[in-house]
Amino acid sequence: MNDALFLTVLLPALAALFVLFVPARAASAVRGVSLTAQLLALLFALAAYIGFNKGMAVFQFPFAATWLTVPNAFGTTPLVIRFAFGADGISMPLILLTGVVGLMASMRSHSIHERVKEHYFWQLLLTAGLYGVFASADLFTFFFFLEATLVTTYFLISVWGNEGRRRAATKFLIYRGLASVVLLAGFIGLAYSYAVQAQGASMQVYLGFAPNFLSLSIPQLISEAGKFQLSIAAQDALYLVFLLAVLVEEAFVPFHTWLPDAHEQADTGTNMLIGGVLMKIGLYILLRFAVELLPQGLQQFAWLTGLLGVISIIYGALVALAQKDWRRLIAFSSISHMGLVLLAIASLQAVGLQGAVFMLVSSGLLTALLFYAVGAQADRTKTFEIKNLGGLSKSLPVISGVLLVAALGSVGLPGMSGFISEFALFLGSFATFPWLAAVGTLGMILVALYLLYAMQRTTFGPQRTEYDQLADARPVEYVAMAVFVALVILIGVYPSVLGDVVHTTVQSIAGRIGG
Amino acid sequence: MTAQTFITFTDVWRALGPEVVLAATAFIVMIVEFLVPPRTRHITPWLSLAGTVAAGVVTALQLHVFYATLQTASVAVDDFSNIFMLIILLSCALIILLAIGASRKAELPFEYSYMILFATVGALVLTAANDLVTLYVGLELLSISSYVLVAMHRGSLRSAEGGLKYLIIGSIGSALILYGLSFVYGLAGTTQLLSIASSLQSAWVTTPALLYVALVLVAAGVGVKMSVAPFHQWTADVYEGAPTPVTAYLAVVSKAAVLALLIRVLLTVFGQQTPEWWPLIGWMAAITMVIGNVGALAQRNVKRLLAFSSIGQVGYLLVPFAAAGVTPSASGVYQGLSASVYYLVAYALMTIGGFAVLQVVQAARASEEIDAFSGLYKRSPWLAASMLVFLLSLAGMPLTGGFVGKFLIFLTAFNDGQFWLGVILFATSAVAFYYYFAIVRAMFTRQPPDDQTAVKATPAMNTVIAVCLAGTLLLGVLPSPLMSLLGGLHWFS
Repeated sequence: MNDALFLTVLLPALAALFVLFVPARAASAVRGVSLTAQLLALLFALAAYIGFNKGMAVFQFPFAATWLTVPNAFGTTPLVIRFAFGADGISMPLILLTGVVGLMASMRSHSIHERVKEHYFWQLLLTAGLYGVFASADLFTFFFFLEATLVTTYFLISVWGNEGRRRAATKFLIYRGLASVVLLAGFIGLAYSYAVQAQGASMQVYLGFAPNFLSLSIPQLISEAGKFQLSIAAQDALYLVFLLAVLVEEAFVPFHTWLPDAHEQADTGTNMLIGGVLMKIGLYILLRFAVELLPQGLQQFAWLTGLLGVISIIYGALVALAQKDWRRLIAFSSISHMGLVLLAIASLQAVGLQGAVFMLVSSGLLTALLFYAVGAQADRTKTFEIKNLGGLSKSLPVISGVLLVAALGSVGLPGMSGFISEFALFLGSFATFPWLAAVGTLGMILVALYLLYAMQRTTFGPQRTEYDQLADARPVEYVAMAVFVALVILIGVYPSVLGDVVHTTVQSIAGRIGG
Repeated sequence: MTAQTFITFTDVWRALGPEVVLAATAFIVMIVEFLVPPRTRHITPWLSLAGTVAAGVVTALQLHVFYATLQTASVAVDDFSNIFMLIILLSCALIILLAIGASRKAELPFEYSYMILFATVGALVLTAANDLVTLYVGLELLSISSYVLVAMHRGSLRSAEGGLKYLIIGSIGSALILYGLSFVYGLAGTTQLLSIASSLQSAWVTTPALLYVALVLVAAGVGVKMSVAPFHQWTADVYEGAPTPVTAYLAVVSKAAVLALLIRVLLTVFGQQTPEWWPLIGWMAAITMVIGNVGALAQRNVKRLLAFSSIGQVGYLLVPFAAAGVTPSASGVYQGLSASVYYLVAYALMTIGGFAVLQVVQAARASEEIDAFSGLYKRSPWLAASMLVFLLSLAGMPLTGGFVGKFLIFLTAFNDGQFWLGVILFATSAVAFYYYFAIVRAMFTRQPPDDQTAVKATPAMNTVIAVCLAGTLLLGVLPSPLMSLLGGLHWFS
């Protein structure tokens, strides 16, 4: 059971290697291998989720293997680099999200007919990377998988995208590559400051299980953070470094231009993985490293963080109003929703943090579903341009219905995951920043405006004659859409299914940072 | 100078075993090349290869064998020279195989098979020399043979231009080194490195200015030889003009040998005053990293691009050495050396591998531009995938040897408190991703041109690529064996 998380990473990676040796003509064999691996990985993620001990705030399902020992790396202390996995209440839901979106993206990619083998190779590697990012319990492991997602996504966009794919892929690579460099600087600073502090502190306080080597283990750092604090200056500086990395990584204003371009160019399966999972990594970084390890830095710059969040909420929503392409609209909508998470993190409240995790999961599911539904209609109408669509509810009732469900979920209709997420995160942020939160609620009004307006132009109105003969959803599409809709409603109606896992961890963090 | 001693062959063998083997092979190959009819001349490179491998075995056998170096010795037999010799011989063997695989007689006549051995003998002497005269002999043997190798493509104007350019600039470099060393000799009154170190103790007090002049001259000369910025201007033109195997030789073997010279001379001759000169090396490393990587951005010719990238890589190789100079403890220096050598091994493998793929593509498309790589994934998935690994390794992607090497170098810089060097290392690596990806993009996302036939490499070429690929990945996935080997060396006796 302890290996479950490790297996979620290993299975897609092995399948990717296996796919390379399947002859290129046997496309269906490639699809079969990919689907099987994704399903198995999802089952392991699900097993871990069910077996997760909800009463504990520590990293569970630990798996560690030492990869490299560098003697005398830090003074005379050796540095031990490990491949370590584990999950707590924040990462566990995101691992399961990766599984769901990964499987659905793999099913969706059946419509890829060009360089099929390579497509699945990169897609499986990307999935392994995404699992690895959320499941890693070591700074080095984390960074390794983060870089893996960067390269794989680059290839997925630049080979299987539309006309402007190369430009969009290069932009993606540059932006996220720079974010990685900044993040790496943050990691090194973090590990170094904690190591210096721990050496000093071990004289005075007892550090449980303090190893006699320089460790990059995340649980170790978190336990040290509970025992002593870094200096205010170090925390402030490191927090700003992390914030900058996250702003770029998460496409917040003013570093947002790469995301709409990437979404507009990528194929639907890749868009589901980018919008559904990849775009949650940045905020996960903030929750995992900044909030837990630099609490005073976060407190110092909470106002800045909240303000940046609100700017992205409003700006993203306003720009989404003006979009003519569904994929760009979803991209800006996603930026706007992620701004909410930033605002919630700045609140420093347990309920706000819980709302943040809920929002990550909910937005992951809904964004993937939006892309899926929009992609499904585009398979038939051959266009993503809103002005070229219209009256689809008559010829494509099921797909239109699902698109409506996804839009309503994003708007925050009660009974769906969006509502409970927004409710919790606004509860937290109103307590800390009433004015910022009040401005942030404007975003909720705008989201209704732009999504429902786009819906109306797409599904209602006079039906265009060229769309009379379209065939509605196929069985495989029913399955994918039904899974997403079921999960969105499940979380909305019965939030404990997610909340119980998140709760203990969030409480313990909030207790430490004084929320 | 005590009683008269007779040098027996055993002494020579113990001190210069690999050099003897290699030099003997070189003469044999030269004679064979004269004597055999043109039809059978293709065996000569294979003889050279056999000699190189034999020299490698001899070197490997004397690894860990510990001989104390006398004050009066002209050559040192220590693990420092052994490990550099091993890298040089391994690279030389791979490059000979690469030249065999390239097999285009017009570009590289068979004379290369002994010229390359003479150059390598010079390189080996350079790593082991413990005497200024021996050192200079090694340097000139390496340099003069290299001038010939660069100009070997007789029909090509570019090759001739590169050869002439290399001859002029390289001679200036040699002259600078010689001039600097003459100051050292003038002050110390001896040419033995270890004796110089002790004789100079008073000179540091009485005439430090002269020593600094000597130091700067040597550093500048070495800078020219291993294309450290701002002495790098010749690099791209010479690399572009030279036949590809020779380019690989210049990029790997020459640089490794001269790096060994720099480290040994600076540490023994000027070792007492490290705090005085390490900033010089630090700045050289920093400027080189920046200029090499930024210069590569503008290149559309892959050979020129790799030339600039190799300048940047030299900057990385210098970092641990610059950083170790601040705190000249023995363990600090050894750790820096381990990091440098680890990266050097990775650098040798990925660079030779990259040039091998370039050679194949160049032969198939008659072009060295990035566009020549368009759609390589379709024409040869094997070559495209190998090139991808080499480029990612040069850029420093995890799971490749380049990453582990850079990481070790970074740790050394950090541990010695030289954060700024570490920061520059990473910033320039980020820049490097951009231009390496230009090739990757061409290989994987562009459609191949009209000519869709598969690109085929000769078996020898495939062997080179396979060895380099396996080595690059092995160093990245399982770094421990080489690291523990380097950790257990007696660097200097």
